Amino acid sequence: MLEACVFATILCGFLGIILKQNLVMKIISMDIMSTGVIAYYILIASRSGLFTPIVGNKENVGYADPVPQAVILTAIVIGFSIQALMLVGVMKLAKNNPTLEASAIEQNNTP
Amino acid sequence: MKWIYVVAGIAVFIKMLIMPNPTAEWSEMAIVESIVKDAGVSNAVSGIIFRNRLYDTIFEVVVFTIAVLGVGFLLADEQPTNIVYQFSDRPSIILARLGATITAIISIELGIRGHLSPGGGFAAGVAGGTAIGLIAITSSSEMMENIYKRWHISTWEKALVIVFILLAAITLSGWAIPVGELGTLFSGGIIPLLNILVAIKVTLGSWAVILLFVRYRGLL
Repeated sequence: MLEACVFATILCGFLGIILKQNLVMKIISMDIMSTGVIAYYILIASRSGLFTPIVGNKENVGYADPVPQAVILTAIVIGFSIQALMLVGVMKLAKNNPTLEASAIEQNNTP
Repeated sequence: MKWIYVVAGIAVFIKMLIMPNPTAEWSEMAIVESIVKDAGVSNAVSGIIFRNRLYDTIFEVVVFTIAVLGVGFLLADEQPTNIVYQFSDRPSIILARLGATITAIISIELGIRGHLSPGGGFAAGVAGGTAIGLIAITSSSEMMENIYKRWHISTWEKALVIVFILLAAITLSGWAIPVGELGTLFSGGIIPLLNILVAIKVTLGSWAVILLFVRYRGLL
């Protein structure tokens, strides 16, 4: 059930990227898609147990797998960096062609 | 053409739901315990990030720095906005300042105890960046920029990246500080130091991005 919700989030983001014409909406859809992917990693990590992988006083509890959690940190950081860069790119595009619609920008720039 | 993509996306969605994922059958090995024993810190995620995946983390930091540089580079030839509309009513300012104080304290806590409790360098940096962002939406952008210039923040940011890379290279080449007792503040060898470095670096990087966006785009 949870897995289906996560996949639905990813699918929503994907459809948003290809169906929306507005560039800012595309960026938001990409963010939604990456959120879904991150949630999927967290879901996979919780298969072996639900405790945070921090060793404490309790013995023999089912810890969550720390490896996917550590791996997905890269995606979070790089997603943030890419979003900042994409927003700047959209700002420049919107300044050159006074619109945010992808098709109008393409039409303006076709020779 | 679009509809092919839509149908393909829905097909992949249904496929992922129907076919179960193959799960690895190696649950006998206690991953958390072995990582904690290797790294000497009780937070296994921090242990992986700054020990098992240190080589990856170097480039993560580098990518972040390059993105900040790229934002500055792309915005360099734009016209700065003349009027930046700020929050000017007292309640907003006081709430934002209060929030900034709390977030800054949380950031320090996450940074210095990231190897013991949930947290770590990147989370601490994001908290610090949030604190600076909260200040930036209420105080004048000239003041923020003067502070940024006066303390040579961008130079410090680059110096921190170089120090981080050097420390990581030293660690990767095999030299290590003794690990110390598990679960105390000064344990885990180099990991707390790397945590704090990453925290400061991400804070300063997000400060640079916030300043650039406020200067060239305004707040609204």
